[in-house]
Amino acid sequence: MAAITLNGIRKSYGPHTVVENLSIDVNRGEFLTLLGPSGCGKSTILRMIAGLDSPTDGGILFDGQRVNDVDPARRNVAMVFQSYALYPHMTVRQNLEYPLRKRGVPKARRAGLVDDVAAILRIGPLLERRSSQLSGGQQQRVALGRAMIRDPAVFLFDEPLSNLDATLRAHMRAEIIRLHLRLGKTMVYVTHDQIEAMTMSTRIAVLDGGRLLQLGTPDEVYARPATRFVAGFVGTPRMNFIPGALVQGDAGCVFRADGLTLDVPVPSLAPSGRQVVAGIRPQDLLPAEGGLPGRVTLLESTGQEVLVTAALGSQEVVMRLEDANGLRVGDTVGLAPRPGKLHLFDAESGERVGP
Amino acid sequence: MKTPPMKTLGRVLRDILVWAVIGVFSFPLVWMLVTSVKPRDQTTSYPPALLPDQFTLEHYVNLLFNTAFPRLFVNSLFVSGVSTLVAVLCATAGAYGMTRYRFPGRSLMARLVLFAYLLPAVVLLVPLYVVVAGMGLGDSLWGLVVTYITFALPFALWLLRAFMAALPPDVEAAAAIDGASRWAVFFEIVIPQALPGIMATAVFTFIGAYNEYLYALVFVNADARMTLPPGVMRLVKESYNIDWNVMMAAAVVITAPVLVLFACVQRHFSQGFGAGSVKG
Repeated sequence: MAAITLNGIRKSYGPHTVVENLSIDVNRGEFLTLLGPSGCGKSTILRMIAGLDSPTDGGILFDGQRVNDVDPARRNVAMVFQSYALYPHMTVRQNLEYPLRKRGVPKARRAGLVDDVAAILRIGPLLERRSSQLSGGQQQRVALGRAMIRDPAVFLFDEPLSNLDATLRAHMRAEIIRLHLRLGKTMVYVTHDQIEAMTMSTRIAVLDGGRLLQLGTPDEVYARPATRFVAGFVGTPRMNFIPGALVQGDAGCVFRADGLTLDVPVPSLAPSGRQVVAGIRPQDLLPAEGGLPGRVTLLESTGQEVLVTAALGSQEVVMRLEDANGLRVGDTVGLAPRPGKLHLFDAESGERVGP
Repeated sequence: MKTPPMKTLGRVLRDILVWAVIGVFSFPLVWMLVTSVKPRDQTTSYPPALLPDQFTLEHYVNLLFNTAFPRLFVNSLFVSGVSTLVAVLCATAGAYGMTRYRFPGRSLMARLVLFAYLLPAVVLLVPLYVVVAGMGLGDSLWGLVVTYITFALPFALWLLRAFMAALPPDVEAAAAIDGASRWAVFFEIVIPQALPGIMATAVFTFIGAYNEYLYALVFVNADARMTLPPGVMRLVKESYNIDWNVMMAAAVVITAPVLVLFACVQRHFSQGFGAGSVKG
């Protein structure tokens, strides 16, 4: 187990900067997820932790020791790749044994370890098969086994589930959570899937354009997104955004939506006239008498809930309801945000405004 | 279930066509083999007999004991074998370097590699002769080896570069993290995956050197150091009457190593390379 410190990391390829001045402390035994859209630099960060790439600037420390110039082989990390990266010319057993062989583990002990891991991951019957003869889910298991077999200090996952179908993905997600509970190792997990990030992580680091936007527990990131980008990226269905301004209302500061007669009191802020964007999660937008008139344009029922899309002036918003209450496409419904559930972001910078 | 008659007919016609094409292409080879075991008096008989009345191995005995053929054969195998070995070894390492390391002029180099290969052989004949003679390798088999490597290496590099570029780099990264050194990654992970490509390259390189005529004719004069293509030509020229039977026997023996080579590596050709290592 090791604590990882990323200290002012920058990575550029020629004039192109992929990661900018990134500092994160990953605690011992923590499950940290790097979450962001493709091209946000998250895989590059993982590769730098593994030692496959070196940072242009800044230091990477394992338990306080600088490892910038340490070979991947000597960092005692294990990595699971999106592509699984099994050795195609070897059997499953040889794949699992490879990291042990490279570390000089005696043959008898290797066999025992392979059996243990095969039992945990239920890949015993596959041991003598070639990796090319396995299904995606089986390959994923073998890749996981190859990572855990040598008891590394740190586990690194690079979008390990994105090539699996939905059912298998949910299953393997649970498997990785269990693995973390069982081993208690430091794990760094890269994904663009916010469900994976929310369900698995101790903390989430949300990245965009090579910059760290927010670092916090899943609950913090969800309840109090630091920027408009984070607010839009985390949570499904996506948060609704309504542009407007902070102005003086009847009783203090209110958010007034552009072109709409919506005033929401925000007593903690000053009515500065500042241009802002209000974010409302779909479950925080409720049908209400005297609310904003929205015309229903789409109803999507999943059985347990209904997503109602409504046109509000020139834009569409989504409401999440437990049942449609007889709403039909074309109806007009009054909409109002749940009190205290309005997120405000600066219209220019996207930074969170207020508490 | 009964197959509709039209479908059966179509299948039969297709089979006939396939066999006809196979027949056309294999006939010269069959004729070569048949002529090499025919008694001399039946060789040019009319109408030609596809199968002779009796078979004889006298032409092979003649070829192997009364001509310079065995010497030529050994020389050819040596020249082709050594140049293939050197070219494939260098090209494997070179192709790996070209696909996995970033260095200035990388893509330019990849394009220039084939440049020498694009020039007609005859253009380089005199300059190469001067170079080889300057190295003290004139009129020697090593001179031919050097020459063949000059041509084979760029070609091998070019072929193998494509193979190496298709190998997923993640697999090598995984091996590096698993504790393998650069060398271990190359020998234990890259080479086994690139084996089909290496085999294919070796076969092409070998055949290229084995069949080469022009340089072998010009660079080597002594009978003892002659290779098959110019050597067999000389055997044919020297006799007043062309001995077709011996010549066909020679052709059979010349073809044999290539067929053996193909038989040995065919397994690797048909194997999908890189399959199953990575997904997506």
